[in-house]
This record gives sequence, C-alpha cells and structure tokens, in this order.
Amino acid sequence: MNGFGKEGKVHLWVLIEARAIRNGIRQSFRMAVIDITERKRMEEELHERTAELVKAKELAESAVEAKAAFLVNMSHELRTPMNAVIGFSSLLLDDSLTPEQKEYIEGIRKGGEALLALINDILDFSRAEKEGVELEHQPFNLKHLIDESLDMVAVQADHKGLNLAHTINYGTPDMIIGDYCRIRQILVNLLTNAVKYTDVGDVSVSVSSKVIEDNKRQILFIVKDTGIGIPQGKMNQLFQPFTQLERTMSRKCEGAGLGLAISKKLAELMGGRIWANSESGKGSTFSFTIPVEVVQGQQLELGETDRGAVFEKTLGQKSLRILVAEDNPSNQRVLVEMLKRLGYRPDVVADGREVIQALERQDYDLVLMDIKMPEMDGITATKVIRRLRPENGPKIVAITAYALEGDREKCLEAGIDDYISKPVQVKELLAILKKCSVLGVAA
Amino acid sequence: MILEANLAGAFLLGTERANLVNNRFQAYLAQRSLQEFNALCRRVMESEAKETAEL
Ligand SMILES: Nc1ncnc2c1ncn2[C@@H]1O[C@H](COP(=O)(O)OP(=O)(O)O)[C@@H](O)[C@H]1O
Ligand SMILES: [Mg+2]
Repeated sequence: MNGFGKEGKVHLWVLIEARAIRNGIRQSFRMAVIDITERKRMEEELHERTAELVKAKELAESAVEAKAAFLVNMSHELRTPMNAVIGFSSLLLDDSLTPEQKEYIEGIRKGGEALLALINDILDFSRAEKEGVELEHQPFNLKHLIDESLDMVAVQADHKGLNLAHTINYGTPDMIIGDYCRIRQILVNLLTNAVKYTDVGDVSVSVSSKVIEDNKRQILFIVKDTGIGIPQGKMNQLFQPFTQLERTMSRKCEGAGLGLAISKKLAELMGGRIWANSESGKGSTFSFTIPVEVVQGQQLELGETDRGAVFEKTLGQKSLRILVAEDNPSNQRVLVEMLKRLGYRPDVVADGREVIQALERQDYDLVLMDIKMPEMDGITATKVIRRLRPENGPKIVAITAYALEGDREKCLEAGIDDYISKPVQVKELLAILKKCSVLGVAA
Repeated sequence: MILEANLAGAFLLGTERANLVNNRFQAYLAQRSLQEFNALCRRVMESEAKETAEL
C-alpha cells in the first residue's frame, strides 16, 4: 500500500481485516488496516539470510568435493612419472656400476618407492572422503582374504624375524558377501603397522563372528602385535589423518600417517567400527568390525565358482607349473624365492632359447619372461612359442624394467598375455597367479 | 469509496481524515495489490466472518 512516512511517500505492508456490514440494501465493509511493514521486513531479512546460509553450505560442500576430486586426479598424475623414476632406476641397477653409483641409484629408487606409497595413501584417503563411494557387494572366501593379506606382509615380517599367525574362530562363516578389496585394505594397513612397529615377537590376526540377524553377521578382526605399543595419552590421536606418534623421537618409520585414518574411513563406510588397545612397550591390539551377509545353502554352490573359491582351490594345491626366464642372477633369485614362499616350485632358465627348449621337454601353465635377455630376448621367444603352439600354449607374462606405452603394444603384438614391472612386488605377482589360476580352471 | 476513517488510518496513509472520505480505497493501494484486494472484497461479501489479506 502506498502511504507516507517521514521521508514522504513510502511503500507499506498492511494487514487488512474486513467484515461485511449489511445495512438494508447498502453494502459496506468495516476494515481494520494494520501496518505490518516492520514484520514483513524482518521476514524478508530472515529469508535472505537463510538463502545465504544455504548457499554458503552448498559452496562448502562442493569445495570438499572439489578438493577430493582434485586430490584423486592429482595423485593419478603424480603416479605416472613416479613409475618412470622407480622403473628407470631399477633398470640402471641391473648394469655394472661402482658401489658408490649403486648406492646413489638405490637411494633414488627407495625414495621413489616411499613417495609412491605416500601418493597411493593420499589417493586412497581422498577416494574414501569423496561423497557417494560405491561399495562392492560380492561373495568371497574369508580365509582367502586373510591369506592374501598375510602374504602382503610376509616378506617384511620374515625379514624382521617376526612370527605371523592367524586364527579363524569356530563359527566364522567361510563365504561372506561384502567389499573384499576394502576389507582387505584395512587388514593390510593394520598388519603393515603391526610389522612396522614390532621388532621382536609375533603379529597375529584373529577373526570371529557374531550373529546380527538371520543371514547377517558382525565379523570381528583383531590384529595383535608385541611391538612398541602406544602411550595411553596418544590413543585418541591415532586415527587422525597425518598423525605419526613418534615423529619427534625418530624418523626411522616411513609413512604419511594416513593408514589408520583411511582404515577408519573405510570401516565406517561399510557400517563398522575400528579401535585400538595398547600398553606402551608391550604391544598393541587393533580391532575392527564389519557387518556382512553370509552365503548360505544353495548360494554356497554358486560361490564355488566365484573367483575367490577357484583361487583357493587351485592355489591351495599349488598346481601351477611355472617357468622363470631371467638372465640376471639376483633378479632370478628374488623371483624364485617369492614364488617358493607362495608355495610354488618354479623351473628356471636364463634366456629365450632355453625357454623354447624347456617347453619342448614339458608343458608349463605360466612363463614369467624377462624381456631383455642375451641370445634371444623375451619378445622373440614369445613369437616363436606362439608360432610353434598357436593353441594351448602357456600363459606368458613379461617382466619389464619399464612399462612404457610402446613396449606394451610390442608385448601384446608378440602374444604376451600380461606384464608386470620390475622390481617385482609380491602383490603384483599374486594378482598374476590368481588370474592364471582362474583361467586355468575355466579352460 | 471510503465512508469513515479513524485518525490512525489517516496517519498511516499520511493524509487528513477529511481527505480520505469519499475517495476510493483502491487509490491508496500499490498496483500489484489491487487484484488481491478485489479478491478480498469478494470473499467478504460472500461470508459472514472476518476475512484478512496482507497487501
Ligand atoms: N601397531 C602399532 N604399534 C605401535 N604404534 C602404532 C601401531 N599402529 C600405528 N601406530 C602409530 O600410529 C601412527 C599412525 O599410523 P598410520 O596411520 O598407519 O600411519 P603410518 O603407518 O604412515 O605412520 C603411527 O605413526 C604410529 O605412531
Ligand atoms: Mg601405516
């Protein structure tokens, strides 16, 4: 309504209450006109403020999202050149060097590996922080998960002379449905820490389960060590990102202090919990729970054909016939040692010609082939094998010092099935063996 | 057409009581409020009860 205030004409908000007065034929109203300009102004202000707040909140949320997305992309970009740094320095190490040069290059490689591990941690952390993470919902074998996780720290534990043990308590289901990779990631993080922060004694995993509902179980994982332990007062900092407790004491343990933060995020993402108990100097116990579904009755048979079950069957029998072709004696030793620890008994040859001779003598399921070998290199040898045996030949996996795009093409063209890069890591080797086992059984 | 107005009403509209009488109430309304005021009048005619509107 147009009214007049002290400053002349102003716009007013009014509340009109009106009632009809009937008085013979004449119609009139009684109206009460109430000035509500002030109330309206306040309402409007409130409305504006709310809109501003909503906008600010949305902005903050998208900033968190953007940060996470940025980190994910960034880590990817950083990883590629890091692989070149590590790959090329490993390549240099193969050749004859003075002890001093060797030491420097070893330094570059170690630094590169530490940096790569850090980048991977950051990638995992930001992935877990990003909104809308999709959880896997696949059946898998629980024992297989534990074996695989233990394998990943086996070499390190062995190196330190630690005893690795595991217990699966009575009543724990064999096959469960859940996110295999994420549960394994938590377990591996805890195991890695346990091995890292323990100098003598044991590291053990124990698994048990509790019924939640008909086919729902709460799986409890406990990782126990006899290491340095954690001071009581520091317990609540443990799961914070970028926290390393003994930072001031020594820098002997590498890492970014992200492992536990990632583990906590992942456990909570899956609806579980993670916590720690410890006595300084005596050791630590880290526990986490994950709610899962059990695979029962009919589904169990289905589960048998699942990758985990197949892997278990073939790996359990350790029946793969493996040939290692590698000319460098120390690389040869490392690879054979790794395979032995995983329960295989590989044969060994030193160049491409010998591979072909070996294949004439007997069949192999898998040939792990170095690319750069004297006499006959891996690519030529592969071409010959594929020509001689176009069908039912062995699976050939190249071991390359550096995995450049062009090389990959060359490998695939020659008939190589897959490749892993040097230095060979147990993790990658396991993945190859797993793939191989599944294919072997399916064929 | 305004028949009577009290002092507060005149003050609100920034004018004398005498000036209000015999003027159309609509003259004091903002253009965009006219439709709603007319709707209010219709409601008032049809009902016995008190009707309200914010303009
Ligand atoms: N099993 C353990 N025994 C003793 N201290 C531990 C153990 N696990 C973790 N910690 C402490 O918690 C810190 C954070 O662990 P984590 O998040 O995995 O980071 P990082 O392993 O990179 O240092 C470690 O730096 C260490 O101080
Ligand atoms: Mg760690």
